[in-house]
Amino acid sequence: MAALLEVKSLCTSFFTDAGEVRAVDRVSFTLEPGKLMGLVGESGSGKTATVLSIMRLLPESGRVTGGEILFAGRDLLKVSEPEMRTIRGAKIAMIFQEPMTSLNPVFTIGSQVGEAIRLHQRTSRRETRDRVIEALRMVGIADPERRIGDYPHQLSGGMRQRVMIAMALSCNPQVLIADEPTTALDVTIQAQILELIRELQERLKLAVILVTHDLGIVNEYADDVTILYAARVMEQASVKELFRNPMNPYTKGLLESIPGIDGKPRRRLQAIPGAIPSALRPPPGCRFHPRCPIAIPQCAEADPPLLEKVLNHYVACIRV
Amino acid sequence: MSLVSGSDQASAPIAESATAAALIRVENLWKEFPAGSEGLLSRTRLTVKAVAGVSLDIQRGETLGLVGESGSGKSTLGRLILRLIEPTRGSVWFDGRDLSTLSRAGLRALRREMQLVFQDPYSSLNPRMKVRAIVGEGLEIHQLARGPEKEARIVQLLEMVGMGADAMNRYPHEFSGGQRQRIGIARALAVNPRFVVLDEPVSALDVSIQAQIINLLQDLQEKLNLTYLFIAHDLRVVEHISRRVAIMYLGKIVEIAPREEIYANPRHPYTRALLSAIPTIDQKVKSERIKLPGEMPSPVNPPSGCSFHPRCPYAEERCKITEPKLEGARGTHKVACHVFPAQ
Ligand SMILES: Nc1ncnc2c1ncn2[C@@H]1O[C@H](COP(=O)(O)OP(=O)(O)OP(=O)(O)O)[C@@H](O)[C@H]1O
Ligand SMILES: Nc1ncnc2c1ncn2[C@@H]1O[C@H](COP(=O)(O)OP(=O)(O)OP(=O)(O)O)[C@@H](O)[C@H]1O
Ligand code: SF4
Ligand code: SF4
Ligand SMILES: [Mg+2]
Ligand SMILES: [Mg+2]
Repeated sequence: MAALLEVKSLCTSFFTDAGEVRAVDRVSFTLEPGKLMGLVGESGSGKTATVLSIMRLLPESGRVTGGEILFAGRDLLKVSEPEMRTIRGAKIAMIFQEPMTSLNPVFTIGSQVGEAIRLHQRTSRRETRDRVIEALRMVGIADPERRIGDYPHQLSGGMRQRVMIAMALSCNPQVLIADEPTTALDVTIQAQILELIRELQERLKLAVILVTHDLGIVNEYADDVTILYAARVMEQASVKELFRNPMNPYTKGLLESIPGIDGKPRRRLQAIPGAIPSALRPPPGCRFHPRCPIAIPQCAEADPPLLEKVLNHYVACIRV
Repeated sequence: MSLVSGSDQASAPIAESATAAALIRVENLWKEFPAGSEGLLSRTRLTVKAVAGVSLDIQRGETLGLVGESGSGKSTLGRLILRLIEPTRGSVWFDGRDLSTLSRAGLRALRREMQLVFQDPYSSLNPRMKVRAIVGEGLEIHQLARGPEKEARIVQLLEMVGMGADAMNRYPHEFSGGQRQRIGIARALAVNPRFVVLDEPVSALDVSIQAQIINLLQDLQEKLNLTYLFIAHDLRVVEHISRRVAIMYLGKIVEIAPREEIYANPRHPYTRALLSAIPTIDQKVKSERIKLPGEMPSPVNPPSGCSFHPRCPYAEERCKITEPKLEGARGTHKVACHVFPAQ
């Protein structure tokens, strides 16, 4: 199927007093309708910077310094801001990590979802109310007629996240970006929210980017996966392929360091030694070389490109 | 029926009785926090029942894992055991001594033996203090070492947690999250505690760093014969490090068992839902999920009977009326459920 969103060699930097922070470095991926891509990486690897670049919502110090973001064939980096406003929210919608900070505490949830709808469509009061109720019902909020009068603090974390999803979906977008939508929730509520996203994605043929640091979530909910490390893509494949045949040493290390529920006698966890490198002064060559168990001297020199090693399975590593 | 966890045969073969073997014994512990009043005109004072009648033992040298959702009362229970906060009622025994009967001086001496490692490695270290002062503070307070002896001890502690002596003269912000957590652990171990409450020590860390810290904690436990209460919301981490696991829901322990039992034979419907909701990287397991409807109820107004009943797929009429007691058939595995009692 044709790609709906295509990110090509995206570079994004933050310009700080201490210097340029390369948050995203030549990141590429494609997203098809009806597919869910997991964007995985540890804290600071550039996940949020990548998706904010797509939304063109980077903070003032941030700037895209290279690459293309093709949406339905057009480069989003080249469209005017007024035009971007007709795309943002209406065609590409985003759910942020912290639902409490992204909902306004002084307005009812009904008025906030309603506002999201009216931002892009001219609807009467009546119509808006009906659409709000329908949107809240769609995300599994019981008794939405009564709930529209509630303020954010009257809702639990899981319910607030549902409201955010309702807001994001109220204009029938084609792409949904969810930045760690469940990090603040416990596992039983997390499962509810992820099932909901997955179900809506299938039903509405949405293309979804799910930002997470949990490979378990990726395994269970995503179709494709992109693994970031220190602003670079390390590996990219379908979920099935990646978990069956991980090739990049960083991906392998991540998979091995996850404790499993297996009831087996206690053993030592496989840990990746060292710390995540500073974004201000990343190591030269392969960013992972100071921690890589199979690094050779050349790894400190060559910056390995992302190459297709097996059909549709891309790996950045000179030793694969 | 005894509310106190029985002797863990596998772990304490030499003990004559559970009480003698247990380093920590908690009996019917309650903590209520004020939570405003019912409305502007009402005089009814509301309370959050953060910990609602917990009884348990922690054996010498073991790790008890404590799991529950956010707000279930895990941190409050940890702080009550350390006597950092006063219980509303109930008692805590440390090594056979009832903490509520201790004098202020007695309690201070005991503080040295019980330490806490915090969840957030970013805010739990004083940003204006150098690592030397952070790690050495306890040595000073408890007058354990001075001068060159103190310096040597700080170096030894830093090396023990895998950091070099050159860390001494640096500030916390110069370190990564994992390194800061190591500093926090060194600080807790400085005073030679016997018991450490680890309050979500790896939750704020990245996966590849979590494994380093968990391994470190396990090594230190063996080397120093430490007893841990390991708090987490991730059953994967707890299952890995614990000898026994306790599951908490709305201020109560709903199940407690040896780790193999919790995994192989979970009884309480909430434990089973928690286990089945963990996203796994195992290609085969993608098991049938037990889907729990609804959210955790407010601890201000907990549901009647079994407080899990509004979300429980197996709830019966009696569950709404009578509160199930935490009971075990053979001692090691205890469950609070009418429908799925311990076997
Ligand atoms: N406003 C900013 N100014 C300067 N640097 C920034 C800014 N925002 C992010 N960065 C830096 O850019 C890099 C990528 O950050 P980003 O927020 O994209 O990470 P992330 O993968 O989303 O991490 P997390 O999992 O913690 O959310 C990091 O090194 C971060 O410190
Ligand atoms: N000092 C306090 N005053 C009032 N209420 C409190 C106080 N400390 C905790 N609570 C309440 O007690 C309950 C239990 O809180 P606690 O911090 O023990 O939960 P927890 O299981 O550690 O959660 P988390 O996983 O989010 O850390 C919560 O409802 C909380 O809001
Ligand atoms: S390029 Fe070298 S350092 Fe990088 S992942 Fe491959 S082997 Fe390791
Ligand atoms: S006592 Fe009843 S409601 Fe409570 S967990 Fe057991 S079956 Fe469910
Ligand atoms: Mg982020
Ligand atoms: Mg807590």
